[in-house]
Amino acid sequence: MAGGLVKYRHLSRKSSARQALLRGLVTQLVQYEHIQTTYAKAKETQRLAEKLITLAKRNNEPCRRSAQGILYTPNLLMPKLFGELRNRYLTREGGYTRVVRTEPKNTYDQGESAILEFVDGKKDSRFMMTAKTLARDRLLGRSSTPVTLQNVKKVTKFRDEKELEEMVQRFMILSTEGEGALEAQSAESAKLAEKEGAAAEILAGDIVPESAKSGEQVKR
Amino acid sequence: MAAMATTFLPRLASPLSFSVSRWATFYTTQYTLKFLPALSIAVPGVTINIPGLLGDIWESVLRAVPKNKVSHSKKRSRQMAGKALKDVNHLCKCPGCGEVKRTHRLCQNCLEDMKRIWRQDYPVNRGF
Repeated sequence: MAGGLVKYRHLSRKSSARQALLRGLVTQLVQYEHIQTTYAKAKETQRLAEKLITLAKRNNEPCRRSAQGILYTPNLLMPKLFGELRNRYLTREGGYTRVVRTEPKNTYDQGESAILEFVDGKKDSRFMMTAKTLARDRLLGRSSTPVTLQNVKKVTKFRDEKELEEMVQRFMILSTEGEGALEAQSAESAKLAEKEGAAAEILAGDIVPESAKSGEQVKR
Repeated sequence: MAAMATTFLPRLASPLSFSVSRWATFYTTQYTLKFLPALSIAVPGVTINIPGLLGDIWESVLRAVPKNKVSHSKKRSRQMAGKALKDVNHLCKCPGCGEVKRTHRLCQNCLEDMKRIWRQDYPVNRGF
């Protein structure tokens, strides 16, 4: 960054405004478990959030006081922080939050956006993404890639495998519903779209491996 | 010795004349003797030294002026040089939906799907 070595992003604010912003963001994170902001803000809030969880895990009087000093609505969120979140991360040694880059949230300035979320939380994007990938693999009848299998391992390390299985089923239902809706729409213009459909099948052939294709045909 | 002679000669010629006029004549003679040849070479016809030098600077300043108006296109293309949008080459296929997405970024379609499920699971958006 310009101006030499800096230990944190200043976010174009003076100290008090920056502190207020980060406190607000971390309060919202504890409340909703999943917030979407700019990448820089997400990374800075991540530091504070990790510290907050460490305070919750330590769970003594000074820790409780300083956690109360960070949260904006302590009376609402202190029970959650020292109950649910503490128990969730008691066995995990650091890395309680995750920052995932996303498409720009603000369409006007197209700023780099990211999602800040609790790992293994209720709104865990990697868990959802893994479930969705597994659902798609099953629908297309192909085996999962090594990366997906690695993600499955990571996601189910501190979490029940049944949860993942349930989510996979839900995604399968969701995608078949979506296809049904698409079919209903395209039924009217089926004749016109025949040629396009053929082209799409050729395109799909590139994605689906040969073994999976034969399996699909048997299903049909 | 010549200078001495000139100072003496007026006094000998008119001893009753004022000293001021005597000094004036002395300086004029000195001046003409010393600088007249140099001036005649540099600027013929002009006997004063300083205005001649200033005039040279003045002329050169007036000459450094844009010849034509810079057109809108020329100005914009100069000012926007090197600020063009970059190509997005880091693309891949989303494992969740098969659409094209940017690498190292969450797919927007999949994010919408996730949010649909979360809205079902946690309908009251007031935390939990």
